[in-house]
Amino acid sequence: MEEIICPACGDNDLGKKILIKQINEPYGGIKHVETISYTCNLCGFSGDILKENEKSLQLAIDELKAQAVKNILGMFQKNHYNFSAIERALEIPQRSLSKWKSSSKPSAAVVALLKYLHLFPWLIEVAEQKYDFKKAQQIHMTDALSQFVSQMTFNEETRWAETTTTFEVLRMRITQTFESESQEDPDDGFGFSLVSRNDECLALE
Amino acid sequence: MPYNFLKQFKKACKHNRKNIIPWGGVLNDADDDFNIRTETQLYEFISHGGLENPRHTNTKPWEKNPKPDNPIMVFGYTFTTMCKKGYIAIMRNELTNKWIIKSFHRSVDINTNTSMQVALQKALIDLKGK
Repeated sequence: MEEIICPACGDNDLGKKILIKQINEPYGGIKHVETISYTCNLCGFSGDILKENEKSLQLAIDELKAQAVKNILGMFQKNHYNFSAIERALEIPQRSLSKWKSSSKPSAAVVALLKYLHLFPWLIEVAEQKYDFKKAQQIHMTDALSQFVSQMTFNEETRWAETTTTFEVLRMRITQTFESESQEDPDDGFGFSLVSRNDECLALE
Repeated sequence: MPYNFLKQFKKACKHNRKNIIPWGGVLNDADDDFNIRTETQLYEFISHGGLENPRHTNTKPWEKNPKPDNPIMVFGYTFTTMCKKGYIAIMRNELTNKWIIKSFHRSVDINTNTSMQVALQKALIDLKGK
């Protein structure tokens, strides 16, 4: 058997230890893999001298990627996306998605495509419009705006403001600000930020 | 000399991978900073021109070399990939005939964010093209 020597200094005083490496895959989950590491007691080098970890790492990554594909396609199904329709829009052969779902080793391109489609489902619509740049921009902007609007908080104050005139709202805000300023520390700037925040709300309305 | 060293290292990444060993932690940094998870991915990336605009930054003797009669130099290079600036340090022990990747991570320079520089360079290339 070949003697193991430190590749950095050439010494043979090496220690072997097993480490647990955590592998994360977006949408695929987490896996823990045992890896072997040799440490040179003379120079401090540590590493996989015999290249024993590569296979197990690659296997774990492949499994997680296959799981990611399953999870993403599962989420498509859960959200009532029709596989045939997606395949038609993307101009890929029918039954491709089902084959990818059952594949134990999907290609890297498939994994990347599905991650993008999962993050930005409107890309399917872009493909449906034959990748037309202007239409693609419209689709993107529509999605971005709907996301923006859905994340805006319409609290009680702004809902109430809808039924009044701007002047009335402003007057009410100023009165509230004076009241709050008299209770708060005058140097903390809270009163001013309240007015400016409400002005922004009015401007958006 | 440093550029020839890098050239030889790239050659080894293509044809002689069994003689390259990353120092412990290098793969973790490569994964965190560049989405490179395995040795194969790392060598493929380097051998296929992944280290763009390589620039030699320093050469110094390996500080922890326990055998001074066999001096080992560590060569450090910065490089860019997409909008990231990276740093790689390599050394070679002639006696063991092994390459060691000592570091491979994002550059911790002050000018870490090179996105503006890259964008300007691309714009300049576009202008020249027209």
